Formats: sequence, structure tokens, C-alpha cells
Amino acid sequence: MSIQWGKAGYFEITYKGFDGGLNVQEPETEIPDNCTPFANNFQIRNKELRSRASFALQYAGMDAINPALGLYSFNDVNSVTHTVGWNTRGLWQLAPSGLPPGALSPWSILGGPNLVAGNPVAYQAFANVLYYTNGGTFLSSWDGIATSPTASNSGAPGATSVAAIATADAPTIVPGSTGPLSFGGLFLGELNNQLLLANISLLDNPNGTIYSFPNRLWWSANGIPTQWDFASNTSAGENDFLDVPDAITGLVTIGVSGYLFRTNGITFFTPTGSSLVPFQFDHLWASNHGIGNVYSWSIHSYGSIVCFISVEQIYQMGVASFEAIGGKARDAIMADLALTSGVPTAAIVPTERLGYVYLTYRISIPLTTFTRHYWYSIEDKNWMAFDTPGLLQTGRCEEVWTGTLGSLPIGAQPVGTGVTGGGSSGSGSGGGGVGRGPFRGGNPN
Amino acid sequence: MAQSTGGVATTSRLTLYPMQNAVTGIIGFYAFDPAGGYNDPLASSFYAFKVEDVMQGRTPTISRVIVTYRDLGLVTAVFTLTGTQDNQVVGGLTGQGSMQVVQMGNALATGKLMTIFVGISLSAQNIQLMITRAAGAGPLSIAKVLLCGRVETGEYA
Repeated sequence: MSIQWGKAGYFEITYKGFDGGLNVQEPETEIPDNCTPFANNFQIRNKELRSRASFALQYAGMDAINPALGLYSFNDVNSVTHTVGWNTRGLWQLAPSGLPPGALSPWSILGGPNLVAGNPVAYQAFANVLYYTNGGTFLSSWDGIATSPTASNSGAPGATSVAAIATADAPTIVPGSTGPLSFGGLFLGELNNQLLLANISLLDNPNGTIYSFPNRLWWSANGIPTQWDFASNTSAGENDFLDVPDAITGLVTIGVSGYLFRTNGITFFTPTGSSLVPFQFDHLWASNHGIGNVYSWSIHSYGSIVCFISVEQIYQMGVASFEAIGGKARDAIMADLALTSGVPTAAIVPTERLGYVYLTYRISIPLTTFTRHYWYSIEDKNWMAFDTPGLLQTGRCEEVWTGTLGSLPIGAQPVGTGVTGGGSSGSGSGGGGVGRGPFRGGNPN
Repeated sequence: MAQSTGGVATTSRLTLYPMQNAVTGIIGFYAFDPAGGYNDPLASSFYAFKVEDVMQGRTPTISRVIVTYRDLGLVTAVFTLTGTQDNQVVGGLTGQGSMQVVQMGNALATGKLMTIFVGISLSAQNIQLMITRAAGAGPLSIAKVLLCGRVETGEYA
């Protein structure tokens, strides 16, 4: 109780240690002193109540009209780091040093298949190659070296995806099909040196027939991310979860185990060590109604932590824990999710920028004219809300590298520059990205 | 070994948000960048504190608010007290509420904790303090708030 009493009815009420966050599920007179019944655009920083950091434009979009569907950084085999992004036109690369020739933004197009509008991209780096898909009938890859992504499979001539089945095996894999087959999915992951695709869309190339397998998990051969044909390599395979009433809505792997999410359930899977049956699947609950993931892009992991949104709660899951984290802000978050005008996305973000730690699970909800962001502090276990007026979020936020290469490896120049010279190999010693100076907030906190 | 195409240096890292302008449709990548300060030019901020009944059914009078904040630069903040009366009216005995616009901090941020007295008062039940900061009004960081007041203490019959 914060009230301190003096003589003759004198009192003092102290508010401090602001780490309670939003509390909309108790009467405003009964909430703890360090909570708020409503607040916006104040962040909690080391128990101070601080107006949130300015939400500022850092880079123009890839083009003027096509919403970005995500971004990511990965290292290629030369140890060169690439920051890439996607829109419906394909894969793009960030060139923070300036505009590539002919470009209107710092992004240069690498191309690849057109992506599905409105679906955030699922991506996975494996053996220094980036793989991606977003619900279309293809899995593409880029190695950071070629000038364009790979969108076909040499083992299945005529296929239009890295994940493909040759004509000879097509009728065996999908009865009634002609082949070659190309497929992708809504979700992509990796476990046991095998790429995992979930909620599959498959194209029979000769006749254009598209098959949907919303309950299917399909994995590549062990260590061979271009081999998905289990008639040719038995360590590839698939599993249809037909004993459940819904579709796969997410995929995540933690350490040596994986979790497959549906709207009403979660299935746990682990490698068996057998190449014939590489995974053991166990439904945590195969229920008609139960805890699952209802917003496909709410699932995100950081280390051993996974967060996701079920129909009635927000959860944090670890290797040996399962915890409801919606707290007293849950009802406000759920109410806004119900009103979303776009695709809600979420991400666990450890730092805001290099050196500024703010480990939070961030749910972003487009609401017609603005985006509302709910941030959950993993450390302090509180929620706060921020609005970004006039802006709608179109993909998952992601921590990416943005430094300008000061010394490029030979040939490591933005596409189309025609520059072949350069200096030492490695990631160089560039400047400060977009010209940011040192922290100037006055408070090193 | 074949050479890489493009690349970035691992000297700068940001959490980027892919955004689209709701009116113009223009695409961009944004960041909540603390290096850009805590003074968003487009978004205002507000924070409502717990509603205080002090002693249920009695009417307290808040006579002073004392704020300890961190000086991150010049900021204009608005402190507002609101409440209710026992005749079911929103507002205090002397009006709808009490509000004061306060300028805090220094043009050259010191980073120090500083204390300021805010001269607002209100006699009402279910008193609530709210702090607002208009878009672009400066960076605000509050460490502690103290409400001072009195309340009738006579026992009910």
C-alpha cells in the first residue's frame, strides 16, 4: 500500500518502481500502485516511465507500392553477412551504403518467384544458404553468391521449386499426379539437419493442378535440403495429421525438439535417430477445442523461449515450462486482435539496436489507420502498448545487420554496380549504418 | 571459392519494422530507435495512474504533486487530476478537474534525476492522476510521483 499517513488526515501516495504495466482486468482502485489501467506510448525502462523511443524511418521500401513481407540477415559461406527482404516481386538485398544503380531505394532486387500477397515470409538459413517460402507452391533459396535465388530443383527437371518431386516418382508421392511436382508451405523450420515444411501447397507442373495439404509436415532428407522425394531417399518424408479437426498454424523448433501448432492443439516431435522414421510425434493434446496457435505469425522463438497466441491466452513456452503471460493485459490485447484490419505478427526481440537490450515479445496489430504494438517484457513480466499512427505493419519485425561494408570482398558488390574490385575478405569495418551517432539520450540506461 | 554478392557489415544492428503508410501506401522500414531519442514527433503519450479512493466514501483533497524525473532534455508535460463526487457526478468539488502544463528538463540534457513541484489540487473521490505528453513535446522519463493531501477522518455514525 502506497499511502503514508500523517497527522490530522494528512497523507502521501507514492508511485515508483514502474514495472507493473497494463492492468485492465481489475477495478482501477484495486490495481497495484505500479500498474496502469490505460496508457499508450510510454515504455518502462529500468523501472522509469519513459516516453517511447521515436519510431523513425530507417530505409525506404523495396518499391513504392508493394508491402514488404519480412526481412532477415544470414551469413553466406564466405562469412559475408546479407540482409534481405521480401515483397510480392521476390527477394531483395539491402545495400545500406546507398542506392544501387537504377534503384529508387537501398534495396536491390535479386528476384526469384513472385510471393503470395499478404503472407509474411517463413525463412530458414541452413548450411549458409537461405531458404524461404510463404504459402505458395515453391521453396526458394539463395546462397549469397549467385545473382538470383534458386527456384528449381535439378533433380526434378521442370520443377519450379527447390522442394520438388521428379516425374518418375510423382504418382507414387501424390496419387493421380503427373509430375514434376513443386511445393512450398506456409511454415518453414529445421530440425535434425532436415528442413521442415508445414501446411503444404503443391503444384503438378504440367497441368497446373494445385493440391493443398493443410495438415501435412514434410521434411527433406537428412543433410540434403534439396532432396524431398521419399521414394528416392527414405530419410525424407511426410506426415499428415488427419486425426485433428483443424490445420497447421505454425512450426517452431527448440534445441532437439519441435512443436507443430494447430488452432486447437500442439504436437511435439523429436528426432529418433532412424533415417527411415526420423521423427517421433506425440500430440500434447489432439483436442477439438484446446490450446493452440490461432494467429499464424504470432509464434516466434528466441533461444529456448517460444511465445504464441491461443484463442484465450498468450503463452510462453520453454524446454520444460508452459506459462500464461497475458496477465492483466490479456483482455485488451484480445479485443484489439479481434478488430485487426490486417495480419497480426509477433516477434521476440532481444535488442532495439546494437547495445540497447529490450528483451520483449511484441505483438503488432494493424488497425485500419495505425498499428498497435503490445510489448511483453520477458524479464519484468509486464505489458505496455504503443501506437504508430498512420502506419500499418505488413510483416514480422526482425533484428538485422545494417552496417555499411567499408571493405568489400572481391565481387561482393551490390547487384548491378559492375564493381569488381575490393579489399580484404570478411565483413569489413563499415560505418554506422544510417549515420547514427552515439547514444544521445542523456541517460545510459 | 565464388565471391559473394553484396553484403552488410556487422557493425550496426537494428530491429526493423516493415510498414506501409495508411494514406499514401508508401512502404518503408522503421525502428523504435533509442539513438533517435524519446521524443516521437507523431505520437503522443499518456499514462493513467491507479484510481485512489484513499478512504472509501470520504472526499480527499490533493494539494500538491511532486515528480522526480530524469532530465533527457526539454519536455512539456500535462498533469491532470480527475475524480468523482458522491452525487454521481464526474469531477471535483471545485470543477471538472485540475490540470497544469509543466515544462521540465534542460535544453542540454543532463541525464540527472530532478524533482519538480506541480501545483495542482482537487477535492474529489476516486482521484486519478494522468500524465500526457503531446507528440513532439520532448522526452519524458518519470522515476517517482508523490501525491500529497488530506482527507476527513471523522468516523461515521
